[in-house]
Amino acid sequence: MARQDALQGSLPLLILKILGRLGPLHGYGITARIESMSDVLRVEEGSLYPALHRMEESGFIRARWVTTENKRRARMYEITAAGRKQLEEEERRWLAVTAAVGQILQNV
Amino acid sequence: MSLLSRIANAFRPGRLDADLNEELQFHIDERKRALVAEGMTESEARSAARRQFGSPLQLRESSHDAKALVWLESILRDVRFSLRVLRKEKTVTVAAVLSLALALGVCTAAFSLLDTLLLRPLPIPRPQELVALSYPGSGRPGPSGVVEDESRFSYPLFQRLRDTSSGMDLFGATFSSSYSVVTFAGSPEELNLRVESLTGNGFAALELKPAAGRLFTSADDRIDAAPIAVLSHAFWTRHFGGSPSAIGQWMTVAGRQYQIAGVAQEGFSGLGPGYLTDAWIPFVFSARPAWLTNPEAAAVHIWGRLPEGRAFAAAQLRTVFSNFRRENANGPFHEVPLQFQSAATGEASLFRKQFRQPLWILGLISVLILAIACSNVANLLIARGAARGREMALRIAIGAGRGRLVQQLLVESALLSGAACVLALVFAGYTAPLVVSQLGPSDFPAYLDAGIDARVFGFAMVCAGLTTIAFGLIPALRASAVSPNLALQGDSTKSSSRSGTLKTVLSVQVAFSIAVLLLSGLLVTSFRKLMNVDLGFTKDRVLLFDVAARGRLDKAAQQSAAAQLLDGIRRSPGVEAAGASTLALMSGAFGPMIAPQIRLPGGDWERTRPLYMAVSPGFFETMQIRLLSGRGFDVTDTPTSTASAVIVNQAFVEQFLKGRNALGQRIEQLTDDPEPVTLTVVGIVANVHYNNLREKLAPTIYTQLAGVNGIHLAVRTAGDPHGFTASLRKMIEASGALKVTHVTTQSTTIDDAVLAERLLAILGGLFAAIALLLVTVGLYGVIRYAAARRQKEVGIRIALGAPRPAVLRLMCSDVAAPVAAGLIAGIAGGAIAARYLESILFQVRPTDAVSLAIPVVSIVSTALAAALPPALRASRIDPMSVLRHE
Repeated sequence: MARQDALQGSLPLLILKILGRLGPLHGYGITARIESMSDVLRVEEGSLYPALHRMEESGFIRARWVTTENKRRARMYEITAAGRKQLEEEERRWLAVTAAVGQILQNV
Repeated sequence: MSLLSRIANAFRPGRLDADLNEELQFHIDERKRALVAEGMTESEARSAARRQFGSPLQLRESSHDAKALVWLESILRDVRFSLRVLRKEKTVTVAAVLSLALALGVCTAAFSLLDTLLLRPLPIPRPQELVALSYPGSGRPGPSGVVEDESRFSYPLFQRLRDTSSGMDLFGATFSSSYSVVTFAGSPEELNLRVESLTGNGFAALELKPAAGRLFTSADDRIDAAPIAVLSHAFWTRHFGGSPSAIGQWMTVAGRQYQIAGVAQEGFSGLGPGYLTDAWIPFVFSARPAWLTNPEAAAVHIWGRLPEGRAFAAAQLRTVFSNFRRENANGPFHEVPLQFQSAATGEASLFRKQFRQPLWILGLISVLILAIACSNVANLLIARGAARGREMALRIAIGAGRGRLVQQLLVESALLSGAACVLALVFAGYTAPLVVSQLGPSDFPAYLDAGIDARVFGFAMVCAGLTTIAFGLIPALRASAVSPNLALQGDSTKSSSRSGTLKTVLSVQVAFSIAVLLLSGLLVTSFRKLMNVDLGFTKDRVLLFDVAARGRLDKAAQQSAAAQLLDGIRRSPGVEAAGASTLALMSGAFGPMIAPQIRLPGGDWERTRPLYMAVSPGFFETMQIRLLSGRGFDVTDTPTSTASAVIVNQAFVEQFLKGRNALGQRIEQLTDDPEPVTLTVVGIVANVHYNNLREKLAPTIYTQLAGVNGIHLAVRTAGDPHGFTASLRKMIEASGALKVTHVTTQSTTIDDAVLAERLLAILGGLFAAIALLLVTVGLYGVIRYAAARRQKEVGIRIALGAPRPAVLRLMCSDVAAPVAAGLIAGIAGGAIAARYLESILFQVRPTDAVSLAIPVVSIVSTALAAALPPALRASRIDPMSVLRHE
């Protein structure tokens, strides 16, 4: 539960950031990347997909099917121009909110 | 893009789910591989991967909802299901679609006619600003019996108004109700074109642009300007193939030359719907020279743009109008208000006035027919809903919400009306133009673009939508309101409320049908009575030639030319009689004539003015008008020697010469001279209808025809008159002094006089047949269904010893009550609606016994024919077989 709460609302931001940095990835790749970079933020793996699909419908990312080296079809996601704009905005807002929260935590 | 993909995904939910599954499965497999690589066993890794992933089913649902329009998907699922249901019950589906299509088609066609003639705005920018000026007419009632507004003004008044109006863009126009003979330079061909005139600023005020060349400008209002003409785009395309070389060519209209200066904007075909204008000439050239300066001549219609919030401009014009009339008043001056009438849909032409009411009547009847079809289909659906009670119960039992069931049933209804709508548009697309071709008189056909356009399409869609709700909602609510418990027990007869609804719908259906039959019957009877009116003359086999003199002939020459002409024609083979008159009977030409007043010697001037008509010897014989006493004209009555010999009709004798010896009676006639002219009655003829079939027969004085120019030559032939047209025409034109400007037959003239009535009678009859067909199908279906449902009850009754006649009575009374209720409601409603028809009806009233009997008898016998066979069958039921069946 704790790890889900920690992720509340930040999952789309993380997805955009990762795709923006690292280029096209499939869903498992994104999960693995989040895990490898942080022990605190662990995604409940399945919940990634509805988020991915909603973002795809919003036009922030786009997907295509590719065949992996072991001959399986995988769905690769990549960030769009609209996604990059959204990423910038989300990132700024996230930083502003966390900074504000941090300030209150320190000064109270 | 996103909405599109969600719509697309709604259409292929299977594919979408397969993709989602594959993607999720890929993730689980990858995780498993990673865990195995970390050292887990295969089976441990599989369950761990699944655990970490969560519920794939739930995730897939949630992704699915994100990627597809859920409501669309559910409707599509219903569509697929409904198509299967509809295909399975072919008979019901076909019956429903056809009856709806017929009714929707009739409605759509009626709307398309109403729209083109009355509702559609002119194709100009901001048509709603357009107004036509008029003022209350004085005195004489028009042909319709009402004092019409006067909408023509003198040209000097127009100039004054135009020059003082601020920002109203007043312009003048004339409207033509007949063709002009037009020739183009370099071609001898004479074309009959509709030519109208506009003042110089007309096109600019209408904000029309030239398609080629230029349009009129204010400079074209000068009488010394070069005469130019503007062609309509349609005529330019038709005659010149849209070639720019048309500009600069010369054309002759009514003997005057005009140079074609331009072509009007495409789509604009004049200010009056119903006719196409082919060309425009500047007003100053169309008008008689005297009109341009006469402050009293009714010369020009004034139109203008009155934008919103320009009340002061209107007030200003009223003042100018009033001042002008006071300045130019001859004798006592009556103040009349200047009126501004909206002209957004074009000229309020006689044509539109003539057909406004008939078309609304047709619209009303077609809506009633749609109501019949709706109740028909509603009944079919209710009956079928009962048969599907188990299906509904089962679906509710496994958790479908009632909303979901109603949605599915409504989708089914929408499919029905959708299919019907498509057929209806096809139907209307064929029939509306067919009706239009019947509207105009035979030699001046109406033009209305009554095809299917966006407005008509929209109307049909809205109609289909409303009918879906009208016929689908109640059955859907009924059918979905099953109690699963009861229905699954297999007893569907307990829902007595269903048969209540059925009876109500049956009543409604009968009521609407009675109303349609009543209205249609009135129209048909009225037309039949009109056609049986005693004309006073025989219309068959009479050819009418309008004759004009080519050059100027003096009186004597005209007289002898006329006599020679008649002599020659009488001698030609196949001609039984020939005569001439100044006006053709029933041609509608009598209206505006100003007749001199008369008095008996020593008496006062009579208030009623008689009608006048000059006729040649032989006219009465040709038209077979009975001579009651005295004599007709003969060749010795030349206008110079015995100008005073006249013949009067019976109505004249009754009105002015009661109790006197009419023959030899002298009558004094008021003329421009101070001394009245004295006329002597030498003969009395029977009354005839002059203008229309409804008129009161008016007192008439026949005078001796003098001259040959502009006469109407009537020739009674031995056989089909059309066979003689060419040879007689040749004969009339042989001398070179005369030419024929128009040929028709007397029967055609009379047919043209009852166009609206004929249209209503034909379509009314057609509508009655459609209504009867629909109601027969509906009654038959409903009654059979009701009988089938009572089979078990009847079986029990018979088993318990009920006599068969009692069973028969029971079955019939089931139907009799709703039919009787419908009859009463229908007669009441129809009689109320018929009051709207009163002005168009002739010698027939909605409350006449015959008017009522026909619809009642036909509906009752239809109901009986539908009810008796199943009732008889029921009364002969073998109780054992029914009861064993359960």
